[in-house]
Amino acid sequence: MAKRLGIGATIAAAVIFSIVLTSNFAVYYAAQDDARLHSESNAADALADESSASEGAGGINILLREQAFLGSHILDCSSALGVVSAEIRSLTDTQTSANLTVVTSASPALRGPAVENLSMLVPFGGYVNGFLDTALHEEEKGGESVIGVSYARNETHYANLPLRIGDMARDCDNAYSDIGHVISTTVPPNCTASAIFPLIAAASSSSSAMAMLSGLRLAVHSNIVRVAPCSVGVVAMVSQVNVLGPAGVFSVELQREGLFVFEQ
Amino acid sequence: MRYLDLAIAALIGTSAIAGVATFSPRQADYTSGGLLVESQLRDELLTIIQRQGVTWLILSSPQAVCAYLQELSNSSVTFSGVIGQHRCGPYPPGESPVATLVLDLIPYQVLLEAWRNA
Repeated sequence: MAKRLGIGATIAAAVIFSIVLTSNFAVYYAAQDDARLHSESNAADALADESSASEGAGGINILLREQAFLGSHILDCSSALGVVSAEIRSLTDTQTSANLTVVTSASPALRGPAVENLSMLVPFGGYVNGFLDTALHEEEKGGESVIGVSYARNETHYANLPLRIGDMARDCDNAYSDIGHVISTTVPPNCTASAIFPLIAAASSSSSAMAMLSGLRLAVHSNIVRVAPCSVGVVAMVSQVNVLGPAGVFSVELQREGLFVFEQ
Repeated sequence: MRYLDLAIAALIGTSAIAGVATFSPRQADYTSGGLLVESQLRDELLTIIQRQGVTWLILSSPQAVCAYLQELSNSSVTFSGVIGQHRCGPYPPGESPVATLVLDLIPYQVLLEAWRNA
């Protein structure tokens, strides 16, 4: 009788503990699955957050490079737009982390949305007609290979520097052309500063007024290079000061210079 | 024979308890909870940058950025960061989940951190 009881107790213990173990394994594997799903979800969320931050940082770095270029070069009015466009096209930025690479390349933007959804580009986000606008092409690749999450996204965002580069080039070129026109159609009484400089000032007055309307400054410097024939060196210079950029305020200057000869 | 039965029952019981202890679901639950907190904290860091703009990190002094992070910190969450060479706020505790966000800006690198207070 005692032997039977012993066997029964052993079998009962085996059954009860088997049930406990099986139940525990079921909960354990469910929790493991839950943890795996959380890991995947967290990895995807981390990649999305990192990519947003990298897009913002990449975009602002591009604008910083534009600002550095424009603030350190005095460009020729006639070629300024082409030179600036080429410079913008050459700009790239790479943000790299352990799981993600975001490459930002830039191109001049001729149109785009006024409101930019990448809010961290504030206050330079979005397209503004008349400003120096840049399209930011973001190529994002990454993933967490250990848990099998991959990430790839291409996006375009728009940013601007409040710089009226088109107006600057136009006013500078117009002033230069007007001066050339006046010189080619006017016969001065003599080749002295008092006879020549008022003509040049009058020739550039209309462009100067246009520049002021756009918040720009037009200055024309001239000097008499030779008296016979009467030759005048002219430098037309347009500037925009106190432009707000991502590195602070800066100034931009465009100029065009040449030698004009009066017909006498 | 009785001793043999007792030994077998004890072996089964010990193995079962060891199995339950080894394959505890608690660890997985803890991991999931930690990841959720980390994700929420990272979202909060991203919101700071979205609201202030990346340029704010460049144009403000590191002290001003640190002061803002300190202002945002409260009894439940702490924000800190490294702006270039300037570290502000306390170091994150080793035991709790910490969210980080790194921005490689031309002037310097910015690292923002957030964690829940114990």
